[in-house]
Amino acid sequence: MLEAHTTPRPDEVLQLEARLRLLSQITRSFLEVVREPQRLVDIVAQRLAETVGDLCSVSLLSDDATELLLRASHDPDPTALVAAREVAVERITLDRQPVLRHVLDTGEHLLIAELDLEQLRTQTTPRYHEFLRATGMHSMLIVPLRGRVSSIGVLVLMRHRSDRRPYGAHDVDLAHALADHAALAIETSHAFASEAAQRREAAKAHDALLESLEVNRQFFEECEIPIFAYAQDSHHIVAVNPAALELYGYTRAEFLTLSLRDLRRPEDHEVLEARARALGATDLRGATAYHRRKDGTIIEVEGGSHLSKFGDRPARFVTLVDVTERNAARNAQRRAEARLARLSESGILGIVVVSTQDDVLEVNNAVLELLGYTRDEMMTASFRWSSVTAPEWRSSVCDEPRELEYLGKDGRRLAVLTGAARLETGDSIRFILDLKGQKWAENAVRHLRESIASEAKFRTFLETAPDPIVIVDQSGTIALVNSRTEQVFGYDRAELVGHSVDMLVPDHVRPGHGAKVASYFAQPRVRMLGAGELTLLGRRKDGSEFPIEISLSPLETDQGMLVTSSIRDVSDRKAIDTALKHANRELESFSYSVAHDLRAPLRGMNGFANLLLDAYGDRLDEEGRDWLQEITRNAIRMAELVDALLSLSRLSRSELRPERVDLSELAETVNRELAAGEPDRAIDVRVEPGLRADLDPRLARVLVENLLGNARKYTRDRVPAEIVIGQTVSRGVPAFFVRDNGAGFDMAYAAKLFAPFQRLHAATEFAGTGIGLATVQRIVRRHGGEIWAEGAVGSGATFWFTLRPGPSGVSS
Amino acid sequence: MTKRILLVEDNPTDEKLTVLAFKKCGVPHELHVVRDGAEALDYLRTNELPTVVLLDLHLPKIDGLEVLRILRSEARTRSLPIVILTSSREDEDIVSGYSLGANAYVRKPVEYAEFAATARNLGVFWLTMNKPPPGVAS
Repeated sequence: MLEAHTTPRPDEVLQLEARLRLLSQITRSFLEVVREPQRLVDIVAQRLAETVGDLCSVSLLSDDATELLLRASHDPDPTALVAAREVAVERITLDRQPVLRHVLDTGEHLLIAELDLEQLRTQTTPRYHEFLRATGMHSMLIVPLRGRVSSIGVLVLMRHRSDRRPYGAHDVDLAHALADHAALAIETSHAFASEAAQRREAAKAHDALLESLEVNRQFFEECEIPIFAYAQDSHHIVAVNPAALELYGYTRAEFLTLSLRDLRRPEDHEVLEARARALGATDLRGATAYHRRKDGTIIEVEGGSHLSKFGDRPARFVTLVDVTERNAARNAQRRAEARLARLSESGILGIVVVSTQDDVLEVNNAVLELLGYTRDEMMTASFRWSSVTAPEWRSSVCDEPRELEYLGKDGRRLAVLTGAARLETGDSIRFILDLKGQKWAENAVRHLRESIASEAKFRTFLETAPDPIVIVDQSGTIALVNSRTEQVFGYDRAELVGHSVDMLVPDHVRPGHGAKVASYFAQPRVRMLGAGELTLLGRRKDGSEFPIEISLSPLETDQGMLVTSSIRDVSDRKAIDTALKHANRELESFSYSVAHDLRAPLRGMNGFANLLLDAYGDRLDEEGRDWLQEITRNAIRMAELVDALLSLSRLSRSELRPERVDLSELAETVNRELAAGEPDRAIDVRVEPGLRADLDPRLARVLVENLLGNARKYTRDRVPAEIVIGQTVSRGVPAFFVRDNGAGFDMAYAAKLFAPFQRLHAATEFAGTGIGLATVQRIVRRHGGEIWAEGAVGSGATFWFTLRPGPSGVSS
Repeated sequence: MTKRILLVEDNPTDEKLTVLAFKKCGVPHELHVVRDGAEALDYLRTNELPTVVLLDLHLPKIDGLEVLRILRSEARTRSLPIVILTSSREDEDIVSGYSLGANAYVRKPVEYAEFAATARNLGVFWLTMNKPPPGVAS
């Protein structure tokens, strides 16, 4: 539990939990008897009497809505119940009862917390007044039974037990909740009852029809109920009336060629045959089956058959009605009912009836309570029900039960389970279960038990975290911080908690910060350290700013969404970065000046050694002159090395400007230039045409010059010297290669090939600075590629290279 | 009148080499040496202009490129022939040198024979072949 949020008091939690459990149980008991209207109202009265008490009577509106009919009453005290039944009025005409009319019309309850019997004397019959007095009724509550469209009746509750307090707000809430559930159940039960009545009527009609059938041919033809007859032995159709032809979609001539089998679904045939055989000569009644129309559609039929004669052959006359639509409706209702039962088990059900135009036609208190609107607000013409669904969930709304999020009037997000059933009118009745409320009640109790342990764990976790952790709520207010936060930002905990998180960001960032927090809450997701924005700044208490990285993660709590932000002070790293950049710059200017400043003394060495040779060479012997020449040669050699180092460092510093380069053409050009410098060598250079790659053209030339130059150099002693430049697959990737049949190298030293100043041949053997392959490798790597070599002493060498990571490093 | 070359060079070895190399260039001249950028500006502001200036880039006090920029911003020296003579072969230095108005860019070779040839060529070209702008001794 977080310290900034109040923990629910245990008694409140238990009370709430008890209430939820009670509502759930009672709603379930209503649904269990929803097919038995009288038992249902009995149970409603009983449950209300038990839970809200003491006496409860259930009255329902008559069909013409002019009277209230007493349907059930209950009181845990048998004496009071008997007394109540004695004075009970079975029918109350509403014209004479403005109070009840008001309750029915407005859907609001009427509470007379303390009954003033003296005052009531004139308003009730003497007999009823005597009943009130004798039983000691002292408090009264009348609650409407609010149906889908309007009130369908009232519950009258009265308390008489002297140990019970007058009705209070809690009783009113509970009575309303129970009454709403009861009303829903009662309406559903009525729907079932009327359907049952229709079925009984239909059965009667069938019987009458069957009786009259044999005597009245004309009735057969004119009857609106489909009838056909089939031969008992062959099952061929022998007679059919127009109503049946219309039902099945055949002409009479067609129909008379069919057998019974043609009307059935193939998969039902066996079962139906067995049923027919078992029937023998008796009548079939109230049976249902699926039949097939001429167009292939399947219909559900209900009816019976009667064995008689057609002509002189035994035939069965089948009468039936199409119940497809009726049953579809019934199935839908069953599904809705099952769903309702499922939902009601888990807690308070919100119920809302929404028109096809998205208007709220009716809404129960649970919904209002959950969302924070008044009934009037929701039922105004401008209110759209779909607006309560959080925008990103709108496309997910459907009839099947589904978890999604609603928005409360205050913008809070509410996790709900919701599903809907369509009414005949096209309106839908939607059930809403407040997941958070339910979970909250469950969790709160558990948390109370576990809070000490879990809080200790959570605190340990927070306090041992290496970084500041700041937990912020949706309004951007700091809910919790750890002690690292205090150390890093320089505030005391008390100065932070309850204040805006803006105090931790620099002044110049504050104006947009609130919007950022809000947008994060709108789409919370885990964000890792260093992801997203480049450099964020934090602000210490003393106003100083420092670079930070933050990771954010949404934290779902009982009190709504919070965000945990872990803040890392990256000053050190930024400082290191800066120092590194600085050092790199230093190094650059160092190597630049070294390269140039080294040249001057070399020039001096070479220059004065030469001057000495020129002016005083004749005074030295051969050896002395040779030594002077050593000085001049070494100075030149060192100048070359310095130049090579300079080139290498320049390679690393220059900006890459890659473009499509025709390597084949480049290799041919470079080869011509190199060949011009060695006119006496005949080398067979073959370049595969069409080698192309994306790289910096300047570096491409350096690359080709070095590789081709190497190949030419090391084939110096070969006749004929051969060099091949091409492209193939090596080590599983397509790579360019330069192959020669020259001196080669020992593979044991392959790794040394590319290191600067590493030479596998004596300088006297092959001239060079030892920087060429290091240069090539640097070029290749700067383009994201790799270079490797294969060779053997005396058998030539092959250098492979790619210019981009992976197989796409080569294109042709 | 003897033609004058101004050499701006801080390295005494290079100075000595250059003086020796130019002595052998075969064209009579007077070679005046200054050893930093500030001295170069002073000299050029207070003396008759030389035929050509040989300007090193890495100089104490005021850097060679800065000396060049200042000389080109002053009317008197705007057209003065200036040759950058340096160890650097950085593209950046070459580009800057030309864009600031150098007339030539010459890299000092390490090998004395080449260096001597360079000095000879420079002397012949600037002292005899090149036609200097008005105001510059010819």
